[in-house]
Amino acid sequence: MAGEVVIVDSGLICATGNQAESWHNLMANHSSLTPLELSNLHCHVGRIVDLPDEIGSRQRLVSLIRRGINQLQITTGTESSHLIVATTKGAADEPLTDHTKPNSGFAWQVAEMIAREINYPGQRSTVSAACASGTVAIIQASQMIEKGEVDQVLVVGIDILSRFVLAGFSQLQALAEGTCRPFDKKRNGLCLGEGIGLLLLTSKKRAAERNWPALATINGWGIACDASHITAPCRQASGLSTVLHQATAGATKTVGAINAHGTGTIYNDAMEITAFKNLWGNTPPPFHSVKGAMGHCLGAAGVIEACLAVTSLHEGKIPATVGLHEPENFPNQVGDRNQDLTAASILSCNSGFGGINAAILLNS
Amino acid sequence: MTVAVLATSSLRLADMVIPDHLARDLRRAEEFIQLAVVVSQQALAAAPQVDGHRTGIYLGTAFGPMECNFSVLDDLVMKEPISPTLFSHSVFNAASGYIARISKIYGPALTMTSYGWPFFRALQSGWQAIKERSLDHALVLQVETYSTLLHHARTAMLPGTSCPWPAGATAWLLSHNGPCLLDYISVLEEPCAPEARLARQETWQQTEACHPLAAAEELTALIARHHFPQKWQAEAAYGTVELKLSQGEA
Repeated sequence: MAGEVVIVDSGLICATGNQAESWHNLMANHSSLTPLELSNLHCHVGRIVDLPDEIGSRQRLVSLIRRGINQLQITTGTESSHLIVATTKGAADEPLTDHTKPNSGFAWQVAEMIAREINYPGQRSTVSAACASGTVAIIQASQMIEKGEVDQVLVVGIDILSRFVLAGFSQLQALAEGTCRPFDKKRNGLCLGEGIGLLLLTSKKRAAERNWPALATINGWGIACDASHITAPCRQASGLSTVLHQATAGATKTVGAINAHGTGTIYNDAMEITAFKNLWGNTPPPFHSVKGAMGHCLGAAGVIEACLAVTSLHEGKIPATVGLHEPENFPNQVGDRNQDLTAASILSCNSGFGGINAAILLNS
Repeated sequence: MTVAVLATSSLRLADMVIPDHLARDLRRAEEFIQLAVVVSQQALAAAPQVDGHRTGIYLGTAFGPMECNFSVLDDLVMKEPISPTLFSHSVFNAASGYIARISKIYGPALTMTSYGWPFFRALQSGWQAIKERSLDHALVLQVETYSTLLHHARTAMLPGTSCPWPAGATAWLLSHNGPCLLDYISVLEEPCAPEARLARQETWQQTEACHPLAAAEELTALIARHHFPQKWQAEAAYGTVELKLSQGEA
């Protein structure tokens, strides 16, 4: 066993900018959601405005990969390195946009594309756990490092906006009218986003040997299934309650704040509130959602949110929940104001289609 | 801690019969999901008393529900409304969600997409969970259904190829005790050319195969015949798999 797992590098690109810019925008309660008109679809999205390529295309995916990689300080690996990619669809519209070349950019090809871009050695794999993919990938990486199976794991969560996914969520009646309002009384749906999040994980021992900074320690995790419905969360929050219990060892580990999934749909946010009540009763830790600022980045969400949790630990704060005006529950714990961490730890959780739930607990 | 293969099942789409008790649950499901659920039920039948909270699902696939994804794209091209059901089933882990719901499995439900050795990637994860005692049972499976477009890509990239890729699924139920012990597993994936991935030339024990389910089906057949090779190694342009099996307790 290699012991403690630490994050030694992090970076992200999404509609709110890179990690530093996103933090600044979140603390300023600024939303980067903008209107999108596509055929007969009108909605707000978290679009990276200066990415040059068409949504859903392989080229847009490649541009985002290249931009994301530039955010990392450490891109070297050894033969004992691993790359885990979390994505739901890759370049889902590529077959619609380019009929002249063999299609590429599918979800199962993204890991290879990233590895080639940075000449990353070692094994690579792809996690498909819908909107919980990013957090599940971080958990898989942590398990590999904890057991001493690999020296380091680069976790990359990536998804781009596409006609495929926009049309799908539209047909599910899941898109917000206007901008999304996580945990608000008047929330009515989610806004889709796009982005890339990157985390380099290794053991505390190896980080010390390499003089890499330990930005955060991964102090707990959990994965569980609702086993109730493919698209709707469990009303009793059985799966999320289980993972919160697992990640915090039954609430015995102190949680200074929660970076919640907080999509802005009626059922997801109600389910999360139920899970928080199940574990902490009427006094959960302060919590927030970033999706009112950048949109829901699907498979990338868990990694992007973990990157921001690293900044939260560094700054000792969680940002306001952009779009939230009137909390449906826990007005003292969630709101349109920045809050202090009550301890040097932050829980980040996600839930997805298929009834999958995952959570990680980060400590400074 | 020992890891045992408690039950196995393999199923080809052409031979699939959906049992009456699953007909209602699977009436709107795609073939990918149908195969996953039916083969899982066959493997789980060996252990009717599994504790769902101590059981996990590990699904490996090379291509996922590909035809379902292209059906959604077809609707987009034709400017027709996308079916919400089809869209939700296009997500790669929808099959795991179905298995979890129908079989009341509340543990981790992981779907791993791997070009090279999808079954063995999943098997390695399930093996580890049992070995560490974090679970009592692990349902490991590979499901492949392919698509017409993939067939065209293979034909274009490998003219003259004649090896058919039969759609199907294989499932193993791992536990602490069973007739076959899985003593060791190692999976190494190597980068390789797209042509090699589509050719899928795999060799093991003087046998050659050329479709993504072949290795999992072969090992399943060996175990069904109570033949447990002490060392089983498969090689391909995309890497190597090594397993060690031995006799367990019936």
